[in-house]
Amino acid sequence: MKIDDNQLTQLQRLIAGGSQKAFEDLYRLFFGRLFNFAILYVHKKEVAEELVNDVMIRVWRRRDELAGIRNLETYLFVAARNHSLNYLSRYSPYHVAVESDNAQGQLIDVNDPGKELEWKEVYFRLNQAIDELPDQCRTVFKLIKEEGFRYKEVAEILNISPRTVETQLFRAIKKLDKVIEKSFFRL
Amino acid sequence: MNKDRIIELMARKLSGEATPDELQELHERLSDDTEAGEKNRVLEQFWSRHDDGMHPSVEENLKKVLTSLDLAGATTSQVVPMRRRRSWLWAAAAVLMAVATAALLFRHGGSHDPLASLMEKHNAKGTKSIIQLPDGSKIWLNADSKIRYPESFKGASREIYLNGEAFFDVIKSPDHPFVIHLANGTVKVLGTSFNVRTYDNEPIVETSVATGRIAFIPKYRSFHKKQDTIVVAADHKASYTFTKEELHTSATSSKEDKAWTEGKLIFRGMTMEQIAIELERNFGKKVVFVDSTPMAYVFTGAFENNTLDEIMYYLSRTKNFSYKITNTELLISAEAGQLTN
Repeated sequence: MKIDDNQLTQLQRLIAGGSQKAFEDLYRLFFGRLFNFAILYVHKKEVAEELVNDVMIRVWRRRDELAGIRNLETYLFVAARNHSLNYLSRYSPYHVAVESDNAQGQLIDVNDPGKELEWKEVYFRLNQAIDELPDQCRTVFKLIKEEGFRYKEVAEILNISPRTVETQLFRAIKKLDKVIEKSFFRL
Repeated sequence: MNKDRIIELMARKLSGEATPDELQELHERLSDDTEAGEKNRVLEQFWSRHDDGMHPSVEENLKKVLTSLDLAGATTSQVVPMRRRRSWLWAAAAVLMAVATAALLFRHGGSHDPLASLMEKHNAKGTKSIIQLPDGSKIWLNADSKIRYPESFKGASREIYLNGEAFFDVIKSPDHPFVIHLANGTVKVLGTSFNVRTYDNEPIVETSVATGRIAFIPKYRSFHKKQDTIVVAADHKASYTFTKEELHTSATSSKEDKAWTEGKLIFRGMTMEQIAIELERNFGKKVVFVDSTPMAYVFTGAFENNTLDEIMYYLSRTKNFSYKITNTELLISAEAGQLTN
């Protein structure tokens, strides 16, 4: 887990006690992570931002209930997932043009076999492979790689079995292995 | 199967689930197989790199959250993030933001231009968004639309600016009327929900009321016309053709007028030319009529979360025309032959 359990429990207690500062600290710790997670579902920056903010607003409004939450970190991810799914069922726009703010690195000359493959390019291809994974597989992969969650925690967040988490991660790694093989060994 | 076993062990290692025995097994398997060893080195390198994504501003969002919780004004200083893998990046971002904020403050310091402090949200074609205003009111902003609003509402009224189409759900606050400035008129409300459509490339401004009442004040450019205000009730709409300065109200289905917020597209007796504008907005592709005959075709239909391809397929089944979708364009022609090349 990425965040120190003790520190998180302490924040949880302080927020329950009404500390605005602790709430702000919690917000800053989780905003980016929850945003990256929500966007896997809703694909839109503005929407993901809004959903994460809604989650955090609820945390503050219901701070009386915080004491009863066993693991705040997974709780927040579960809440972000529920909000995202709610959003999708209530309001599913066409999202045809997914705006990407970081479109750099996509101009790659694949027709230049004489040139040694650069790491950047492999990195790009691997990320592309991740983007092409089925939704659940990609989400599992990101929660483990980017968020450092364990199988059990991912299972809880996504409401699937730990066994499924393992299978999905296996699929993702296998796909990456193929991409690497193609890039380096089958030119 | 040896290959799959290596991948399985690799997955367990990377995710921190591997037992010491498994790590040992992996090590042995990799030293027997140089290609697998090479591949895993690349994979581990990839795994250790972290996608820094493009986070929107944390502080800006936190401010929004605090405002909607009525906690703003007492923001505490930023904490150093706890054990984060990307802490340097965050520190760098924080410094950058501090510099940017300072630069902004410096630039706008002392000036009281009311427009200078407005936030702007601009949706490109093909994108929609939901915006929560500092007073809790919600705005669904359609594609190809722009809204400007203050970071916090001060003074007697809540004033915002709109180009394009938006559905508003305004929180009731009788002492603080909500005013929407349009290029060709003004909408005033106390607390209702309604849709406003005012695209620059359309000659009509329409406001359709879902709940409550609104006041619409058209902007007249000719001097002989006296300023007036009309009140529009629920399930009615005001249509103002500003090119002719004609204003009238009529009954409408407010549900249908806001259907776009739910991903629906409704065409009721619309010509292909009008539909093309709608499709261009929603899908971000330029519509090109190769010949003009299909422009006048009239269609009625409702679509929900369909792709452009699906919509065009259905339309082309009812009227005789051909279409072609490219990366950037939708080409429409009376004859299929015109579209090949």
